[in-house]
Amino acid sequence: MSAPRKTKAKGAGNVAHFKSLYVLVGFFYAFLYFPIIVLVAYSFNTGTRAMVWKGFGIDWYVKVFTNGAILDAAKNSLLVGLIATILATTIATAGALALARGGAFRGKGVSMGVMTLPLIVPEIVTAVATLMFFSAIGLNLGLGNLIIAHTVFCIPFAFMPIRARLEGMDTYMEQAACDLYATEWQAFRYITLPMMMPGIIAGATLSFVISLDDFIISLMVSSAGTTTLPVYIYSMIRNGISPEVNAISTVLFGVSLALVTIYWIASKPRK
Amino acid sequence: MAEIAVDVQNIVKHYGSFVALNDVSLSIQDNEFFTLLGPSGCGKTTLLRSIAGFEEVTEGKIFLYGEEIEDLAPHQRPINTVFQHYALFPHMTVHDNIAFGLKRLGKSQAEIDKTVKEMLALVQMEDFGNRRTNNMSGGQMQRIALARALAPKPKVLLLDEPLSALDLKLRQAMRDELQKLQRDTGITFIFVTHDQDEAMSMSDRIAVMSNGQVQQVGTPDEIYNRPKSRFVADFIGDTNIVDVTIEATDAKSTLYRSKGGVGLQVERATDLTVGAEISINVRPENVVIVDAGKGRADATLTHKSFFGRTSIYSMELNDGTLIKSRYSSRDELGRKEMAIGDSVGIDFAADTLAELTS
Ligand SMILES: Nc1ncnc2c1ncn2[C@@H]1O[C@H](COP(=O)(O)OP(=O)(O)OP(=O)(O)O)[C@@H](O)[C@H]1O
Ligand SMILES: [Mg+2]
Repeated sequence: MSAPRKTKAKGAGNVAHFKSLYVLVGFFYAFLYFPIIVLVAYSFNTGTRAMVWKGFGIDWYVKVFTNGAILDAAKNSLLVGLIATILATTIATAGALALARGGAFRGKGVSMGVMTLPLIVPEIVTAVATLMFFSAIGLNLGLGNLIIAHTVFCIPFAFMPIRARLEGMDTYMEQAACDLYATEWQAFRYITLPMMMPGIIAGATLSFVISLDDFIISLMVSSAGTTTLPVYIYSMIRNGISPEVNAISTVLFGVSLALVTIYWIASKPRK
Repeated sequence: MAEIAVDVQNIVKHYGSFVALNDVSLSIQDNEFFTLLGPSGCGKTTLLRSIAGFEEVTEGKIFLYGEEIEDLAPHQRPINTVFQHYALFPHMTVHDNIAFGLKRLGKSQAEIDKTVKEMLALVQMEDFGNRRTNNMSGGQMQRIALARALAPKPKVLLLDEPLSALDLKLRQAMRDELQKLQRDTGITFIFVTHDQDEAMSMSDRIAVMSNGQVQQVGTPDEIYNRPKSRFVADFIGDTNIVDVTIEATDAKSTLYRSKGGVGLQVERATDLTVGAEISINVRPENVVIVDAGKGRADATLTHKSFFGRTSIYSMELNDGTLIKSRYSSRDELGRKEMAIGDSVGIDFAADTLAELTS
């Protein structure tokens, strides 16, 4: 009898074998999250110096929420984010529907590319181009300028989850609705729209987060009176890092985290 | 004569240059369980979708109880469909799924609730009204799809291979249920399948299709025992087909001669003329093995296969033509043992022979 063949080592090819990888992953997370943890922690510091711990308290949050300039910036951010999200999501929904349900048309592939191209164009390029374009046509609508700029760069972010949702949806559902005496509009209203809703919610939250956190384009396009929160925070930092910056940043972080969680839940494929 | 539910007249359907339906005409009667049977790709679904309104026909007319409908949108046709993969609305409860069509028709809430209840009872799913349709079993989804399609009391119900996603046991149980549903509701069913057993066991009439054309329409018995073409004979069950020429015929009998020269005298008249080249068809269960010299032709036993319930004997006629004979195990009791190489005679009743002209 021949010797038993040596079986392949159990789990060969599984990178989890390399213990050093755990260390690397640990470093990765530490670099990523340590600064944020420190920022959040120090936002509850009662001292006036940003990096010297005095005691726990929410003094700086109270300060933030009574600071008129910060509140104005926050209001601008929310308003711009909200309107830009509504516009971008509506346009993205229409675009996704045309691409997924509009049948074959000339330039379908190109439309697809054009829709998502802004994702890979460097933001600074978009920002400069937008600024130049607005001043070239003499557009001066105050917050309106910001809303237009935000809407444009939010569209691809809203588009992606909506399209992903639509791609996974069979046209059989709409056919079944039409078979059951629904007009095309009713089939859309009662079947297509509710079924793509998770994608729309995901797209909307993603756009809102992107708009809320945007800095470069906002910096270029905003003018006095239309400062958004990230732009205001940046201007605060130039006067030194104060615990107030920590507090407002923590609020922004918290809101973004909540929205991303919503996005994540909404875009999870339902079984 | 019964009223005609669906009258399909000379339907042609092109997909680009591909001809999916080639001059199809059918008259489906009121309250009939009608089946479209054929191999994959023969155009069954295309025909069904044309009747439902999802495909625009290239040529031809479709009438529903006398009314021309081929230009109407799907939602304007009082026809409902049970889709192969059910297409239940995942974001609605079972109740709302079944109520969907009724709502679109503008029924009152009281009437809707009453009908939904009736439908759930009809498919024995009374307790499922408030359930969501995901994580239901295939059989349950099937029943809900049926209830949803039947709720608006359509004039015709279309079913596109509704049983193909179910396992064998359930499929057989659903066959009986579907048949009962059709009888209880009195609604005309047009059922699509590529499973001949399904078609044979459920249908009032069957249309056998191939390559976008209807080959033959008839009751299961006619389709099985009186196939008109080689395709139909071959597609439905096991069979013996022999190419022959008609050598002589009179009012009482016909003499067929095979290519290899074997003559078969059958005491039945034919409509065909002497010299016609056709094929003849006899089902294996109709072929009887007798002593050599006593049958219509002599043959040599070449093979025997035992399947438990039945046995198949393979024989060769003197010109080498293969003939199969099927015996049920009960018929075999007390029959004398036969060995490979034995000379035997084959016989069959005259009316079990079918002439295949194409
Ligand atoms: N939208 C379409 N475009 C082009 N060809 C099509 C289209 N739909 C169907 N066909 C072709 O038409 C033919 C008939 O298709 P159909 O779906 O009616 O077949 P079927 O008899 O239902 O087959 P199966 O048993 O596989 O469901 C097939 O060859 C198919 O490839
Ligand atoms: Mg089909």
